[in-house]
Amino acid sequence: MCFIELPIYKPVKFLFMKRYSKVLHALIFVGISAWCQPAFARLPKEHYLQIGVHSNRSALRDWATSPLWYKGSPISIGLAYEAMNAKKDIETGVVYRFGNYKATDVEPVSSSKVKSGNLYHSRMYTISKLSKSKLHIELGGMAQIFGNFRMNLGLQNNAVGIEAITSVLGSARIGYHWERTQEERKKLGFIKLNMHPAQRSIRLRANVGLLNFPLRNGYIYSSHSGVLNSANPFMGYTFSAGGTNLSTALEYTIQRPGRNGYRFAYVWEAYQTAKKFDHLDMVTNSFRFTLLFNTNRVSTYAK
Amino acid sequence: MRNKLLLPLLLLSLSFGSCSKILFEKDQASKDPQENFDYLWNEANRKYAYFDVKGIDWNQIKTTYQAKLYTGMSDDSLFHVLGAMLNELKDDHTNLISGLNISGYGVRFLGPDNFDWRVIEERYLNKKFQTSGPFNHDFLDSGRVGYIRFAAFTGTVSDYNMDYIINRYQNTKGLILDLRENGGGAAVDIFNILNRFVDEKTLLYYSRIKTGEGKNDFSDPEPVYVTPYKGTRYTGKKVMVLTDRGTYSAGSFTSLSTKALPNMIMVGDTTGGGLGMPNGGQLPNGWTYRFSVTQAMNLDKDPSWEQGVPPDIFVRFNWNDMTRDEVLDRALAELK
Repeated sequence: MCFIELPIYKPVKFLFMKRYSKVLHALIFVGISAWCQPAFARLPKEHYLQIGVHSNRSALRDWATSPLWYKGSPISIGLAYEAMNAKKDIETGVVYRFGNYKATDVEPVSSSKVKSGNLYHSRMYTISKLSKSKLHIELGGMAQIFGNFRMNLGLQNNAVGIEAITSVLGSARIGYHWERTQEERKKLGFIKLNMHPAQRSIRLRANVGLLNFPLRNGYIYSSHSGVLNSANPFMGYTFSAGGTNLSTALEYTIQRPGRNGYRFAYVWEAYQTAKKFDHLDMVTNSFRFTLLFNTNRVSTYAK
Repeated sequence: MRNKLLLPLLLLSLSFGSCSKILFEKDQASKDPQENFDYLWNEANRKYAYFDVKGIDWNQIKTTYQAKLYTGMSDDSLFHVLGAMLNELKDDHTNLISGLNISGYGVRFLGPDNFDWRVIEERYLNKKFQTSGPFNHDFLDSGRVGYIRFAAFTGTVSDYNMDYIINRYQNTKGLILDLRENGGGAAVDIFNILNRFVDEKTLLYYSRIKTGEGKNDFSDPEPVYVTPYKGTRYTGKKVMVLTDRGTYSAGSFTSLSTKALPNMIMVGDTTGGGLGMPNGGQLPNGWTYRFSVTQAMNLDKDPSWEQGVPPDIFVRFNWNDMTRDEVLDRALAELK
């Protein structure tokens, strides 16, 4: 399936194409957030500590050193803290990813060790007028710092690659929630199942980078700090506004009301740094399993 | 309701995943000779630092070497064409590296060989010397001169090594630092050695880096200083630095620095150059390359010593007399 065939393509293309629209969307995001905040602030929240492991398929291409895609299957772990109620969902977390990426279409095969970190803070607010009891439409955003440390010895003086992308993203999420309120017993052949009361939800979230500030090398990838008798490895690095940061997350969550739960998710992330100099492309598909530990001493869940 | 929603959400999620094809340019991996030639030529055209200094017409070189490409040429043939094109830069910081071969120019062949370690071992050191880290050293001229052989900038020069050596030769009339056939290495060693020979913070040279596609798009020249080591030093006496065409890269940077240090005197032949720091990159077929992307300049902000730092005292090794090292003899004579 090609994304271009979908009706949503036009508005997304608009987000890509119109530079000035980023400022406009940032203002809309901030406005909605500010408008929503006072009304929802005092509702009781459920608090969750999230611990997840992720299996990834990722690819990166750094035009400063190579026109080739390096692909790998890194592992990542995630740790997050989430506070949520029917009107608001606030999450702060960190993801650490590590693994080998290889350019396999060439001889000899080239390899790059990549370590990535992602620190984020997300706020989503339910839009009451568009939502129903089970169907939630949310808007909000996320502040994110994403960085890579890469080592490819075949690139000699350019063996080490470092970048950090700071972004403010606008987010939209649609979610459907349903629950089994009473214990049920089911029989699957010879197997008897006790079906406990449970909440389930499926949510799709899309994030679009409104403001992106990649920290990258300058025109020349390597610094000449060595011959300057300087120990500054970031000499020549610059912040340059621009680039693309897109991601989506499809999540399926199961939890006992007011208690622990677990979540399966498929997450797609794409980064492209500003094209002021040779830029970086990176895309990752993640399958994530996350345990949700309810940290409320007294559940706020309303039965 | 939920079943009706599940499938669209799943499809929508997967369709976002296919955005990659829209966002990113197509895969560039290619074994096509012309594509690899163009990529390499363009990268050098955008970033190589010494076209003007060396008077290289890179467009003409493109015309010359492009004509050597043909459909169906073997990897080996392509390597020879691309490697020969890079050799036109006359720069040993320029290489093409593949699983077949590594190309290189060979600046050391621009002058005659000027060094034979065996002559020094047998005729001057009596086959005995001390080894302190990367240095071989001993007394010469009946203990009046210290001789230090430094064959490569290994990046391992330590305060411990230097303290020992400087203390050992502290009471000599002068030192000889032999950098002949030293092809370079880690720049950090340059300053860990030179900071023993200065009494005050001293400007050594300037360096600038490419900032754009124009042949003269460089950063402002940045001054490079050496600061005195806070400990044992060797100052107020002559240090003879022996060089030849094989003295390259960090060896040339050290030679360039001696021009700013009155007590250090270069003896021997012009160095090989290598005053541009090399980058590193990869072609669409996976081969890697490097070439110089910075310029080092002397105190007059002249980058032309990339083609070799000239000695203060020009001396050649006489290969008809294998009992003497004329370069070393001249350095000893200067210290009398």
